Amino acid sequence: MEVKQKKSGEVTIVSIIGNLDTTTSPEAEKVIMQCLQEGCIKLIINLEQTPYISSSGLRVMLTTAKKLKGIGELRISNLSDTVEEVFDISGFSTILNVDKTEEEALNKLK
Amino acid sequence: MKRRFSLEIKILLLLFFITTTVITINSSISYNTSLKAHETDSYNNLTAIREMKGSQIEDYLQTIRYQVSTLSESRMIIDAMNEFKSAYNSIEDEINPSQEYIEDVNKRVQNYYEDEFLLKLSENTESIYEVDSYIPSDISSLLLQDIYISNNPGATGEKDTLIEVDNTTTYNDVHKLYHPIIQDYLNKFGFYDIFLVDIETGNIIYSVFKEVDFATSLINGPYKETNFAEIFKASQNISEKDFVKLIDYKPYIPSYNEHASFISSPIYDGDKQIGVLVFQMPVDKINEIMTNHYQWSDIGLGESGETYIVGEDFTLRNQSRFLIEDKNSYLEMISDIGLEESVIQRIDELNNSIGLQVVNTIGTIAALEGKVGTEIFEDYRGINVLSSYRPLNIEDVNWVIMSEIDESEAFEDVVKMRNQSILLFFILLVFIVIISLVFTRRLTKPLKNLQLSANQLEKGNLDIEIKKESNDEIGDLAVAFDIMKDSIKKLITDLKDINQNLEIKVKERTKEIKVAYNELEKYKNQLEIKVVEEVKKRQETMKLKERMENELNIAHDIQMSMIPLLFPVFSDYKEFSIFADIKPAREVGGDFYDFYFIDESHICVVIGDVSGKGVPAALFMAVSKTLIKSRGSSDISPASILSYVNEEMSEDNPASMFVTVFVGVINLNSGEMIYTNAGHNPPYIINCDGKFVCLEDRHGPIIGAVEGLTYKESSIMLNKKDRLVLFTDGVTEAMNIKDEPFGEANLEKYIVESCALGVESLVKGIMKVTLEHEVGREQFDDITVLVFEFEGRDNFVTDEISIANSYESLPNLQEKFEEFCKNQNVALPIMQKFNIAIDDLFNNIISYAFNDDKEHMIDIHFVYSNEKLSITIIDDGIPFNPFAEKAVDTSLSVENRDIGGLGILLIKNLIDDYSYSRKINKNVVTLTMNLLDKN
Repeated sequence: MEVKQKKSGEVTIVSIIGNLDTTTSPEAEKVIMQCLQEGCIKLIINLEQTPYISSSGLRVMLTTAKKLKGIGELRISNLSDTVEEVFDISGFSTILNVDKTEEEALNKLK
Repeated sequence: MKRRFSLEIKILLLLFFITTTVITINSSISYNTSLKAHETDSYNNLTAIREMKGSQIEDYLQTIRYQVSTLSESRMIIDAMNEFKSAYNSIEDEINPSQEYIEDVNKRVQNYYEDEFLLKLSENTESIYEVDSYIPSDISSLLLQDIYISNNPGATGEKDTLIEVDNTTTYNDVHKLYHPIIQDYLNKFGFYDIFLVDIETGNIIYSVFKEVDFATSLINGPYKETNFAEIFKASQNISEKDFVKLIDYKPYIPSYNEHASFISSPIYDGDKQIGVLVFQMPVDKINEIMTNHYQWSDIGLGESGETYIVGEDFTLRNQSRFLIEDKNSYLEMISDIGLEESVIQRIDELNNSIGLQVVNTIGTIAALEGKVGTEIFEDYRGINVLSSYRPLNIEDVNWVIMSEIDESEAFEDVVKMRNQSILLFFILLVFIVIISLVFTRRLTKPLKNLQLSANQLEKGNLDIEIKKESNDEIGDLAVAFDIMKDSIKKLITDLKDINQNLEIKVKERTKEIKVAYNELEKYKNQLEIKVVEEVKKRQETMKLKERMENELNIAHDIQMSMIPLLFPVFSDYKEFSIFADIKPAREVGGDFYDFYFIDESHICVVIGDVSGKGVPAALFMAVSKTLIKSRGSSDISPASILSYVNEEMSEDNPASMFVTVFVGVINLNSGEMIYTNAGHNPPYIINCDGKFVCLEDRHGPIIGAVEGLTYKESSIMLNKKDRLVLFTDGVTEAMNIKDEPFGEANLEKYIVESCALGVESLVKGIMKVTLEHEVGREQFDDITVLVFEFEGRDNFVTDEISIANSYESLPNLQEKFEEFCKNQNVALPIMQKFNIAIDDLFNNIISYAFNDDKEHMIDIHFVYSNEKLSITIIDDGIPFNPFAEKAVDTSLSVENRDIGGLGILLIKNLIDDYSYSRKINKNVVTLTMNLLDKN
């Protein structure tokens, strides 16, 4: 698993490359928390290259969303079919801000 | 019940019947005869009158024909015709009237028409007539009508009295000369009028009575449409000098619309026809003839008879007798049968039925068709009449004559006679009743007295005297009766004596019988007590036996219900087929078999035989089978199962019973069978390719005998189509009548030979040959056979991995699984879903299933087939069912949402089938995805 980070204005875009599961989630969480500490308050997590996500990965999304609640905003984009199904089952599709593409998420954050 | 009639009534009825019959027959015959006679008489009378009147009319009309013909040929009429003709034609010139004179004339004529003619006409008709349409426009006509009609001092109907007038016209001279002669002729023969008509102009140049048709033209005058004009036209251009034409009655306006009939003959002067002589027929003459001057009864027509003529138009040509004699009831009658109201009114007003009364009866129709006859039918009043009719023989007209009398009058005498007969009949009847009453009284009186005497006898009075009252059969009867009475009297006295003796004897015998009866009663009571006791005993014995049998039956039912008896079973599984049968030697036995799935891949088959038979064996068998199944459901090791069962069974076994058992656990994926044989007959594995194996290895002694034993197990691979044949010693030790056992050799031979049979047929076959061997002997032991045929699973691949219970080993598992999936070309989404499930499940297991710090190994099996992909995770932790966690509320918002339980939610939703079971000391979780419906 690899985490890539880039900036677009004040928005930070985090791209996860690889699965988010028990093994990989702590790594991803660490990177994102670091980013938050550094002051990213408008954050996009791009899951385009994440084939699947387990509950450990969902935990990272939820923690991040909770942290940004009130001070900023988290948007998640480019869900694969399996990931989207997991989001639907867990109800995350409704409680988190999910967008089809990164551009769409960017537009909403600007 | 038949009614009872006394003799009196019977005689009365008989006389009554005979008299009535005789009188009725006699009366009806004489009635009918006189009826017929009267009818014939009446018809004869009517026909005589008809003929008389008919010929009168015919003669009369024939006479007139002769008269008109003769007169027309007389020199006087020829001269008169010629002279009246030229006088008529010259009158205008001779008078040469001024315009004023013409106007005066016109006014006079008009006044006459209005004041006299129309007045009289309106009495006879309801129609309104315009004067102008009748007043002639021709000057000659006008002048002549003025002179001879309007200026004629004679009243209407007496215009013939004017013979000459005070002028100098030729017409006046001619009139003065001829009028008295023609008038005299008319009076003598009673014609209504006599006319001379100009053949060329149709002008009526002379008329005796000078009604308004006088001096008009029948060709173009106002009366050119009348029957007068018609007869004139028929008489024109006739070459026959003695031609006579008669025309039937029709209403004629110049005669004030009364019915007028004309008869004519041409007038020839030499060979030239110069005119036509016309008689207007007398109105009353025919009527007088037919009504006999209203004296009908004089000619034998009684009160209701009449003769009348009916014309072709079905109307009367003479007056109806009933109009004359009883107008009111006549009008009522014709009104009742529905004659037109206007016609009835006219008949009433004019007092005339001629030409008005329609007579459309059976008789008139027949007569007009030319028939002659006598008949009874309804006449024009709706009354039944006897009628005699025929057509009249008169030239030019079609008339019929009817001679009729009311039926009631014709038969009046007959009816009278009939009524008299009826009266006489009733008088006779009364007379007969009285006579017969007197007669029968006298006849039955002695009988009644005899009856009274008999009644007295019946009551026991034998002292009465029976007298002979009459000197006939009844008198004889009375004498015989008296003799009989005396005999009875004597008999009764004798009987009384005998009876007294008899009574004494009866009393003695009764006493003896009573004693004997008491004796018998005593014996009977003693016997009854004994019988009741015996019956009671027997009943109890029966009940006991019944109860035992009943209980044995119940035990048998229970035992059988423990064994899977319903086949086919597991027919959904293509991997194997199985069939078994059991036949206990008694109601209950010690044999049993069983088979069930331990898990998706493992099926367990069991066969056993408890020592002994009957209820104890059955109970022991029930315990053994239950223990094996309860252990076997969660233990895939037969050695482990049997070690456990042996421990349980031998622990408390006071009866020292034991059981031989074979347990096999077959892995359906691989075909491997692990088995343990505890003292049971060695089973066979055979197939049709010649494979024949006897599993002879023993893994321990019988179950239930020795405590603390550990049983071993063996393994053998089953190939496709291999059959495992299990049986109990009931098969091999079945004895025939020669005390020879069926034996293994026979069994082996049979199953080898029968390898082509299906499992069910094979089992039944083995049962059959065994029982056949035993024919003639009682079945000695339970017989049980079970056959399992392995088919194997197509295209299935397995793999497994054992990892430690730490997060670090998770990537190993993932790697191994992904490699397995790639090798089997499992679709990516399926693999990803399994990845998520494995990740979360593993997470849960290592978090919750272990409560110590030791390392535990977790076994993971992957099984792939074309249909399914499944993963089984087995750990030896504390009991932990990950799916028992309660559901997560997915509708909570971000801040309220806890992450716990989400993993299990994902597994439940992503994976098709998931299951958890606790097997002995292990948690077994299986996740399965169906692959077929995913494509």
